Amino acid sequence: MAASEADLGRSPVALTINGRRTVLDAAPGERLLDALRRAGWLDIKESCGEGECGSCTVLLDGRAVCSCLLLAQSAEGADVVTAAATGHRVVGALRRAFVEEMGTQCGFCTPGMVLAAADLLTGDGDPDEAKIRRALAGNLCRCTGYHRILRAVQRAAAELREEVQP
Amino acid sequence: MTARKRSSGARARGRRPRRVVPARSALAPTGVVGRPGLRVDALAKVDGSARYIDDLRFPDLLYAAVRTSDLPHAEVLRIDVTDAQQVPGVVAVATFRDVPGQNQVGCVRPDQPLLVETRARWVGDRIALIAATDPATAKAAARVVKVDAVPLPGVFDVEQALATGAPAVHTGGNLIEEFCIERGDAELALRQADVVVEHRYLAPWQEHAYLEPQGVIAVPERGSMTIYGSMQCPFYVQSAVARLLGLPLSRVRVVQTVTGGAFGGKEDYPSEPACCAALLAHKSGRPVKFVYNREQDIQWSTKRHRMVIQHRLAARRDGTLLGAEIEILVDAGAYCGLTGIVAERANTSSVGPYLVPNVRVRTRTIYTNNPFGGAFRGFGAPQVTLAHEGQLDALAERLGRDPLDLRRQNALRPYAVAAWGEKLAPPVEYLETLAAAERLSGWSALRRQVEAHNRAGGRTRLGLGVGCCMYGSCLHAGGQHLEGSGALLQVHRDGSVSAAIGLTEMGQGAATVVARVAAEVLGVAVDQVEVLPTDTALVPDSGPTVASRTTPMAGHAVANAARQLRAQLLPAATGLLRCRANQVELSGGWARGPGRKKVAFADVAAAAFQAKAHLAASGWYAPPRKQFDRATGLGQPYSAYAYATQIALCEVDLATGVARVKKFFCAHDVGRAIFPDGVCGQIEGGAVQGMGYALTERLVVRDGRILNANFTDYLIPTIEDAPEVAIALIESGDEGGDKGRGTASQAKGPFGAKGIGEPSLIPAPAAVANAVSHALGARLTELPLLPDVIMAEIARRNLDNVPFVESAAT
Amino acid sequence: MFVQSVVRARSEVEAAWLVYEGKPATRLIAGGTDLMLQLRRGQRQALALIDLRRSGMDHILENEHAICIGATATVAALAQHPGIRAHFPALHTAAATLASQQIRNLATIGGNICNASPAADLVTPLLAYDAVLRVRRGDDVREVPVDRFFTGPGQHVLTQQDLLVEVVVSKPLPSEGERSRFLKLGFRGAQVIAVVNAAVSLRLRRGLVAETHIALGAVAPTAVRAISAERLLRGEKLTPEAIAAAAEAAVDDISPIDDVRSTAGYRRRVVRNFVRLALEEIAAQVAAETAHGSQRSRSRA
Repeated sequence: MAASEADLGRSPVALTINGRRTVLDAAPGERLLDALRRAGWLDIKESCGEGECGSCTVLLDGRAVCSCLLLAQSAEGADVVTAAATGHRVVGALRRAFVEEMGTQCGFCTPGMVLAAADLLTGDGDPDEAKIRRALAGNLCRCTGYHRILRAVQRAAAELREEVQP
Repeated sequence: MTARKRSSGARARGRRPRRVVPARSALAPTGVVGRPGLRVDALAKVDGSARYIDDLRFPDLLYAAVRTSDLPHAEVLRIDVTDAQQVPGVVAVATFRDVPGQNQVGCVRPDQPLLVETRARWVGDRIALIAATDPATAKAAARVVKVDAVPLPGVFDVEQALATGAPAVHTGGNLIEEFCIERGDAELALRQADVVVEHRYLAPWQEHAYLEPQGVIAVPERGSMTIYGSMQCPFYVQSAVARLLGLPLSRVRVVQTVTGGAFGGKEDYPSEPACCAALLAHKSGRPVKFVYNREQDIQWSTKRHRMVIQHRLAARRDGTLLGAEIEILVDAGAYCGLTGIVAERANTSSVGPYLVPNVRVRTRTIYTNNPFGGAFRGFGAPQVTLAHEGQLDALAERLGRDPLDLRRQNALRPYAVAAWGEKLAPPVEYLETLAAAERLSGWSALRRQVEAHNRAGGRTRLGLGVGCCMYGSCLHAGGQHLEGSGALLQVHRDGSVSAAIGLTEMGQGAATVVARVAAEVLGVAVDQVEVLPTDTALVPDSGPTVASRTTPMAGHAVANAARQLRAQLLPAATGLLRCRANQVELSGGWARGPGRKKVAFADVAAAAFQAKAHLAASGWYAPPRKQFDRATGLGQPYSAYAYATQIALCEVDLATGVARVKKFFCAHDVGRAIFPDGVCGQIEGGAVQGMGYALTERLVVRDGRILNANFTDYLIPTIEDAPEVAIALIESGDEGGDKGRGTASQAKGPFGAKGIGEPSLIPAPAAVANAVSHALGARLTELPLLPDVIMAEIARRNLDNVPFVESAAT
Repeated sequence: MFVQSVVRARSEVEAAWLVYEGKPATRLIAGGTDLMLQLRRGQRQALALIDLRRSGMDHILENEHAICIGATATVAALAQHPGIRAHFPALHTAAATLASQQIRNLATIGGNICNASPAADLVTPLLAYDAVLRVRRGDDVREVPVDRFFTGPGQHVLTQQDLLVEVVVSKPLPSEGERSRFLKLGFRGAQVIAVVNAAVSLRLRRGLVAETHIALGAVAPTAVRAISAERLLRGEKLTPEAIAAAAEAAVDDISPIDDVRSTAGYRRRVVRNFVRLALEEIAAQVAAETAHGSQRSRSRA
């Protein structure tokens, strides 16, 4: 009988989560997703566990990644942002826009969707529809048909542009 | 293609659906109903603070794992769990011998044991359950359960299952049940018709692919059990767990957690993981969590039923429909589950919204060793709609008629008799949906454009397809004993309101609808109403959250309770406003009296409390009884009907066979849109789910096992696959009635609302299949229309021997 | 078997020596987008991982003759690189459309190559461009042409001691007039594994095909070159007839199978059409450029 994964010694992984310095305990082969959820970051969802659906998306040093495909130990020193982040300009604007445009139904894909869009809008303040679609193609939603998600991202982009140029 | 570009086109921003609303209606809402607004649960969902089942924590929690049959059909001789029990960390192991009540989870027929006793009938059959201190240990222990089993020949095809000498999945043979419609003389009509169109349609399995997998937690407590979980139908789970544990219903409490999508997949099925967790919790005395991963979810949970439909449609040369003869075979899988109920709806819906005087339908449900068929948005209707709409387009083609025009000619109208012999009470809004879809799509101009594009040749072909349906709102007469629905409303002394219903929010927007109905009747703001999690301890058994019945049923129950509360509040309001009761108007958080006098709703509530008024009310609604004869399939199967017309514009790439939907138009009769943005969200989502069924979603099943039980190879639409969906809503509100012409009047929801959850999906696969068929000039009758399927048709007729790039030809 | 240790390499040198001295059942992990799920599914095993994410091998350096891409450069970085976009459009397209944003942000070129999937999107362009892989063993570096790298599905020529450090793609001379295309077929709009992919590069001299590479993925145990199609085209004008003949010939260069995604017969048909489509597009581009050029020279005269 092989030792279970959970029995293996965990080691500390120091990183920043939503602006807070944190030390996660992570087993060697453990996914960042599991370590984060165990630490109470329950806004990160697991749906497919294979990097296909985007529900577990986090921003890792500003870029959207699937936390189910990342070793927790690889995140040492990283800056992680989740949908629960407070004081994050782009994430905040997207959350408001998803509410306003009804870009959420069951809500399970929504935190990941917000973060994938945040990566896009951080690098490109005025993406056209094709760019938005390409950026969100890794986030599956089974409820909305995506129409209102697209609108939400467009709304957030517009709002962020207005903030910059009053 | 790598870059399937779509024209960026006009931005969707600000585009609102067209709405056709009657000018004046006595019962028209005056408050929030029908107005724009937000979902009540959106904030918690966007920042991730909503708690789904996997987010809940309990002390001493154990994790469940299952040992399933590795064989699709086998005689199980011996189950040995000694090794599994020895694994460190394992706390409980259960087999069928450990079930204190009945080892049974069949939700309609008692044909499905929770745990295999002697016979495994499909690969998902459970042999043993493990509870351990962590998930990996539980899984490891499940692997060391020893099973002695002798493989039996399996049967994986409905037609083979009916053949003599086929392996019997259950004693008594593979035919489970038959349904029919017998009206007029279909045989004669077919013989005497000018034209008979006949095709065999194959509607395959579909996986729900809700984003949140199945999950439950069972918490034992002194002879009772509480189940928390992701589900549609807490009362189903309550009954199932009580039966398994031999407990009275009063000792089983079920609380629905925030549910991440369901689409029917969490109707019947959650009883199974709930029973597993409950049995382990019962045995160990500790809370047990059972949350599936994606592979388990796809492999074990129910699917949209695979159906084979032989459809013969007879017509006169002028297009008048004369008769239909339809044979439907439904693959139930190894157990009956909800198959009979699904088949009943398929049977009734198989002719469509057309005037067909002579009808013979036969629907048979059949056991196989395949994946398990269950509820899925549309409940048998999308499959038969694929067939009847394919037939209408095929007939239009044969007669050289415009497909919309042919439908208009044969459309059911007020007082017409539907296939099942019911004279339809007005309003019958089918023609309105046809007209609205025609306008919305710019039909004639679009058709000319498509024809011009295809004449020009080149790499792509375009096609236009129509799909229509008539959806029987709420439960079929066969299930009407479950139709009653409750609500509990409470006005607090500060004017805030709590609402509990017996049906569930699973993403579709039920909580927002309930809050709006309560707010409308009580005259408060929507955000004053707090909708509680659905809990079997709060509200009486309200039946299942299915059949697009939540808005009508829970809506009525909430309105009923709110009216009672209004009566309780009025004396306080009249006291404060110093006027008569009939002079008080409650709206927008105020009680208004004659002149400009008004007091805040909160003050009214406080005064009512001081006056010891009873500020809680239990609401109930049950529609009138329906008469229906199962033996002939005739009568009144449903309380009301919702009509829809959808039009798809598709493009086929002749180089690859890839088809995609370029534009999609939906016209829906919704009675009244209580939450218009919610209605449109449902339509957009349902239409895209239907497109997935039509184009990309293929479940690869070999010997009963699903080979692509993951999101890598089971392809649901991405944002790159979803076209813009244009919507027209037809709202006739509470208008209509039988006006003394001998029809059963329609029982719609509050303010005349009809459900939209399912009609949004039902015609979509048919519309897409018709569009692709139109593009290729060949009738495609089997879904999904994946590129290899389409390519076979392209290759057969050498359509890809054209220059793909224009200037290369010159 | 569970992963029991993870060692982080901080430089190429450290990575090379960690690999060289690696114990059995040690695997390299970079983006992890393939390995993490193979480990979970039990398709691959490892007791120890060497994490290359911070090994500093993520450079993309461009000089006059070539672009050198570090093995851990992400697919997203490739997609954004202007030099790759300008000189290697097929590689750019393959990178820009690979999987999803989240995967592109993690996945590396080295991982895409070393995972050795017959359907890997970056491999067909690298074959079309005759890329060279630089492989390090301890302090020794050798070069392996990409067309000699793969030996089967999930299989390649590297040993347990070898580390892929860099991918070198040489730029064509402007006078060689190279054009290239990448085509991918998946069964939905995005985020999908290729059922067929193809990369075609082609150089014309005085209106005749001087050189062409036609690389095809997901249609054989490894990505393959359509050698007989290439042979038919060399020295020919890019006429519809020559294109059609090459497309038919390409079908004989592959050995597709039926799998969970599709069938062999379908893949053959698509290969034929893809080769024709890519060549037709290139021919159209040439025709457009020629028309444009002659127009310009006329207007100058």
